[in-house]
Amino acid sequence: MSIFRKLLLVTLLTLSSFAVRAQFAVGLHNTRFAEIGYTLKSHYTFQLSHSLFSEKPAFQEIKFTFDYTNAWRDLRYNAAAYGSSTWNGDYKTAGARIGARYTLAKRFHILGTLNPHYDTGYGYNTCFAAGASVNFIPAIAVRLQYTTIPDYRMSEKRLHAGFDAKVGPLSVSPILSIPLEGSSQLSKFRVLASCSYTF
Amino acid sequence: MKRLFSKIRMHGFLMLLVVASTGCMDNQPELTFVGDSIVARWDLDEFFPHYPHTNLGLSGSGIGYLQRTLAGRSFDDLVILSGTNDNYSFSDGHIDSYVSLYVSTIESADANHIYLYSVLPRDFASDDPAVNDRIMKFNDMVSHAVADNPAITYINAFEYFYKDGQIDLALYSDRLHLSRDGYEVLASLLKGLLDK
Repeated sequence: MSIFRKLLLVTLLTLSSFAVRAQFAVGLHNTRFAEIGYTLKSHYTFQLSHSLFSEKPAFQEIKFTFDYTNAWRDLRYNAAAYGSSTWNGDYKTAGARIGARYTLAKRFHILGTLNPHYDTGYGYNTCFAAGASVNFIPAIAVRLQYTTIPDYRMSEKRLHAGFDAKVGPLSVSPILSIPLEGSSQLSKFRVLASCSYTF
Repeated sequence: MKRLFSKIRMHGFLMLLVVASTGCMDNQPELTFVGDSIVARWDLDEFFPHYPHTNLGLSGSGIGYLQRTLAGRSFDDLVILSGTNDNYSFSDGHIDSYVSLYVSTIESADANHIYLYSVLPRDFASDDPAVNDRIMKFNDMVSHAVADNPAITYINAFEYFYKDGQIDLALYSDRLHLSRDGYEVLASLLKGLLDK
């Protein structure tokens, strides 16, 4: 049985074994990944994402993520595990993400994510992101973050600067991804668009 | 008891996810890109996300950098786009010795396979009007010199960037360096060969 069938079977069995109090979300992550998520009891999210690279279908990447989110006082935290592969099996990844957001004085947030990440092509990397965001108005936060978590696949030192806007069920995050190392950095700016709509 | 089963189910799911994903480790060949600013400016993770890659492009570089970078190292697959900064050596009195040095430098590289791009046309403000004629002659000589070498695949990208005696401006950002569309052309030519 192929890896995809195994993962699909496990996901479907797990989903069907839970009760029905749930939310669905669809969206886009970092411009190149379409996502669909299923959140149970506000804490457990199963997510399936698929790349939109300008490539043949065999080179597209499919990714499964399980995420647990909770909050304690002003601290919101989450832990996630994920696995991905291209359809032709050229490379696979697996890893975990442990993230936290601590709110100070209602408007100022400190953000941090630890991401042990394994890629069959690049090997193991401990990636992380650290930064802050400020809500100038309740619906919009300005975010600045140093990150080594891959935008697409490769871990690079980058600065993410942008907005997180949330209005009702819709959230949108346009981010400028700025490389911090390597030559000719100016030509490697990326505009990353993320959005999601929750039903 | 119910909570315990729930936890076991959750942990089992996580373990399965990770084990299934890492079950069969494979080794993709790494692409190493060597060249001048056109390589240095190439956002490889955006254009080649499914290949491990290293960008050794250096702005302003020429044959000297190529020699230093290729000597004493081994590569999986090597992608080379270099030469435009040495175009003064494509003149009649120098071109034979330059082509000889260029080809011998590339052929001496220790790589599983080499993908060699032609030098691209240019129309920079300070360029001699005959620069593209010289580049065409250089490309022609190099493509013939490596034609019988099974370790080298020559990629004639020049013709995609030069139409009716002029560079295709849509593929350039400043008549020398490439726009996103220009990189799209380069990437699709290479991907067509890699995917075979």
